[in-house]
Amino acid sequence: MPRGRLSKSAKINLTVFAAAILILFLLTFFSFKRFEQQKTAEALVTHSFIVKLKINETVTLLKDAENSVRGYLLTKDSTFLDPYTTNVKKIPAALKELKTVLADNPVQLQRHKNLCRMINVRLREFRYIIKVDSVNQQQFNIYFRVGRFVMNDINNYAARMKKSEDNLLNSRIHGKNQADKKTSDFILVISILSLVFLLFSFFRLKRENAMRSRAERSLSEINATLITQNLELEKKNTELASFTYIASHDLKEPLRKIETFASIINTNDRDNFSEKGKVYFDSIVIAAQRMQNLIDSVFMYAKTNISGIDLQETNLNKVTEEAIATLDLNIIQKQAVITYAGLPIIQAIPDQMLQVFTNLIENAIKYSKEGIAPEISISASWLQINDEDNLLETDAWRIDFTDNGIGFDEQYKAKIFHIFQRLHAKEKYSGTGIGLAICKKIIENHRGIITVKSTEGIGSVFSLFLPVF
Amino acid sequence: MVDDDKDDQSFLLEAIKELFPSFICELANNGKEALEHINNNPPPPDYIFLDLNMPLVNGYEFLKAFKKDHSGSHSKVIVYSTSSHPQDRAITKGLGATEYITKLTDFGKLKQMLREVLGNWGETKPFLA
Repeated sequence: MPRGRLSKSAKINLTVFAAAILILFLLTFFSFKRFEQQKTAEALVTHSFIVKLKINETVTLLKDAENSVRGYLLTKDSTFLDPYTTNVKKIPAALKELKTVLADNPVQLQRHKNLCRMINVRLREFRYIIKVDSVNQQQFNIYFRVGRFVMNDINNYAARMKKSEDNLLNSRIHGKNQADKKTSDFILVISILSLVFLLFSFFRLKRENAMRSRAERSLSEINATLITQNLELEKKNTELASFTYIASHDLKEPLRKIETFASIINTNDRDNFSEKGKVYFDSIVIAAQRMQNLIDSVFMYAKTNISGIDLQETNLNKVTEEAIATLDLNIIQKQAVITYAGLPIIQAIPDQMLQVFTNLIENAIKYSKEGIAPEISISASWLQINDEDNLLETDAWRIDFTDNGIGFDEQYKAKIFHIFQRLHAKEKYSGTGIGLAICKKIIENHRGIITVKSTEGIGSVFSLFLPVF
Repeated sequence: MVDDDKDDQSFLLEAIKELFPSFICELANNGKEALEHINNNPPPPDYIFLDLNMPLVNGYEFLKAFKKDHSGSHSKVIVYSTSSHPQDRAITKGLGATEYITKLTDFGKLKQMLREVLGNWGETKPFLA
C-alpha cells in the first residue's frame, strides 16, 4: 500500500470513532448547560420567595403600626405608640428594599408605586389621628371603619402582588421545565447515538483485530514453512556437496589405478602389442584421462554451489594477473596477448572470480584462429540502474572479454552455458564442456548475468554483469 | 611397504624391482601388521614406504609408535600417499617422516622419483621393507 493512503476500512473506523468523540463532547456541553439551567431555576424561586417575604414584612409592619395606634386610641397610653413610632421609620426602608427586589419587573414596580401610595395615605391617617386631642365617638367609628376598608385594600393589593409573583414564577418554571425536557431529550438522543457509534466502532475494531490476527497467523505459518523449507534446502545442499565430494573422491581412486597400470604396461610391454592393440590401448588411456578431467570438473561445479561464503573486496586486476599466471603455458604456447586496464575492485568471492577469469581466458586462447596469435582484451564499464545496456535492476559493473578467435553461430549462445554442452568435437578442441557452465553458476552466485555476442570467423565478446549494492 | 591397497603395493614393487633388483621387499597391509613384522624381525628396515589411510592402525599412528619404539634406528620413512595436502606433509614431517611422495600415475615419473629418493644407496644395500 502506498504511503499516506489509508484503506477504506481504516477511514471508516476513524470517522466513526471521531464522530463518537464529537458526540461525547456535545453530551458534556449539554450536561453543563443543563446544570446552569438548574441554577437559574433555583435563583428564580429564591427571588420569588424574597419578594413575597418583603411584601409580607411591609404589610406586617403596617399592621403592627395600626394595632399600636388603635391601642393608643383606646387607652391614650403613649407606651402603645412605641411600635408605631419604630415601624413608621422601618416602613419606608422596607418599601425601598421591596422596590429593589422588584427592579426587573415593570408591572410589579407600578403596583409597588400604588402600594406605596396606599400605605402613605394610611400613615397620614395615623399621624392625624394621633395628633387630635380628643376624638368624639363618631370620628372614632369613622376612623375604624374606614381604617378597616383601607387595610383590606392594602392586604388585597399585597395579595395580588404576591399572586402576580407566583404566577410569574410558575410561568418561568413552566418554561424552564419545557426547556429542561428538551435538553433532557436531546441528551438522551445524543447518549444513545454515541453509544451506537461506539458500539459500531467497537465491533469494527474487533473485526479488524480478528482479521489482522488471522493474517498474522497465516504469515507466521508461512514463515515457519519457509524456515523449514530453507533448513531442508540447506541440508540437501550440504548432503549434495558432501556426496559429490565423496563420489568424486571415490571415483578417482580406480581411475588412478587404470592410469597407473596403463602407464606400466605402456612402459614395459608396449612392444608386445599388435598395431591395432597399440591404437586401442592408447584410446583406453585417453578415455581414462578424459574421465579424470570430467570428474575434476564436476567436483569443481559442485563446489561452486556452496552457500554461506562471505563476499570480500576483490581486485579484478589482481585476479586477471593470477589467471594469466595460471595459464602461463597456454599463453606462451599460442603467443597470446592479453590486455586489461582499469578493472574495478568489487565485492565477490575471490577464488570463484579467479575461476571465471581463468576459464574465459583459457577458452579465448583455446578457440583461437589457426596460425593467428590470440588477442584478448578485458575491459570494464560502470552502468547506471536505468542504462538501457544494463541487464540488471541495479547499478552494475560490466566486464567484457573480447577475443579475435573463431567465434560461433549466435543461435547456440544459450547452449554453450549448459553443462557438458560443446559446439565442437573433442578431438579438435579438448575440453570437458563444463567451463562456461561453471562460469554461469559462479556469476549467478554473485547475483549477476553472463552473456555473449559472437560472429563466426571474427571473434566473441563475453560480458559479465555484476550488481553493485 | 605399508599399504592396504594391493595394487599400490604392486606398482611400487614393480618399480623397485626394475630399479634396484637386489633390494628385499616385504609387505604389510596396515600399521599394526607393519609394527608386528618390524618388532619380530630386527633390525628395522632401511626404508619404510608408508601409506596414510589404512584400517586398524593408520600411517600417523604407525609413525608415532615407530618413533617411540625404534627412536634410534636409521630407517628412513617415506610417506607414500594419494593426498597432496600440505597439511599432511607438515604433520608427517613433524612425526618424523623423512620424505613425502604423492602417488603418481605415470610409471616413468615414479621411477624417476624413486631414483632421487633412494639413489644414494645404489644396488649394494640389502634391506628394504
